[in-house]
Amino acid sequence: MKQAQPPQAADDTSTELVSIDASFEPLIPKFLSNRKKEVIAMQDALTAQDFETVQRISHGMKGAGGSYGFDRISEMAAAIEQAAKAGNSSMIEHDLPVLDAYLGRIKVVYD
Amino acid sequence: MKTKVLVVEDEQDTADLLKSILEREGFSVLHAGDGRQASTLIDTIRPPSLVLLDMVIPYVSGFELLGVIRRHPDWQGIPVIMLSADYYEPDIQRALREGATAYVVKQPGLHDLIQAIAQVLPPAVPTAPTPDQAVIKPPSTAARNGRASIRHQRRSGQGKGKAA
Repeated sequence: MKQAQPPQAADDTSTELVSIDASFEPLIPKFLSNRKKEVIAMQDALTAQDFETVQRISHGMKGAGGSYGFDRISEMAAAIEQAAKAGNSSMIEHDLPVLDAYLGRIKVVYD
Repeated sequence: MKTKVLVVEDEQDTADLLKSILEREGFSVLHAGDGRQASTLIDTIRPPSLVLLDMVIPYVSGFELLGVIRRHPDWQGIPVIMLSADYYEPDIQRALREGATAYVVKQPGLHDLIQAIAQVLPPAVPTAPTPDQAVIKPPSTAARNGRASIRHQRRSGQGKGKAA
C-alpha cells in the first residue's frame, strides 16, 4: 500500500495518489461517492449536535476505508469517531472539511 | 454446491467488498444488513458453513448475535469469524471467550480474512475448525503496528451443526 502524505489543511490542493487492488476497481466509484455523501450526512448531524450519528457513520467509514485500502480515510474517520465519542464539536468541525477536501483530491491507481 | 457464507455487515460498501472477495473465492454469499435481519435468518434458514459477523451492527450487537448463534441447536457448531474495524484487546478476548472461532481486524484487501476462512473451513471438513487452532498470524500491516489481525480460539466442541 503506497499512499501520499496526509493532508494538513482543507485548502490543500495537491493530488493524493492511492494504490488499490485492481480487483476492487468496479467498486471504487461507488465507495468514494458514498464517502462524500457521508461527509454531508455528518455535517448535517453535527449541525443538530447528533454525535451518535456522527460516531456511527465515522465508525463505518473507518472500517470500509481500512478494508478497501484507503488507509488515510480510515485514519481521518477514526479521529472523527473519537471526537464524536467525546462530544468535541470543534474538532469535528475542523476535521470534516479536511476529510471532504481529501476525498476530492484522491486519484486511484490500480495495481 | 458452493459453500455458503452468511455475512452480517451493516456498512454496504464493506458488505459489497466482502461479497466480491468471497464469490471470487468460490463461496455463495448471504447478506444481513443488521442484527434483526440476521436474527430472522437464523430462525428461518438452514445454517451456512460459516458466519462473518461484524462487531458493530444496528439493533442486535455482534456479541448478542454470537450468543444467539451459540445457543441455537442447529447453528451452535457453525464457525463464526468476528470482524472489527478496531484492534481492541478486551473485545478480542470477549469474542473468543463467548464462542467466536476467530477475530479479524479489517485490513486492506481483507487478505487476513481469506486466511482465516481457509483455516476454519478446511475443504474436507466444511463445518468445523480443527481443535488446536490457536494461531496468531501477524500479517504485513498488522506487523508494522506490532499487532496480529487474526486471532483464533482453541476450541474442541464445535462441528455439531448441519451446514449448508
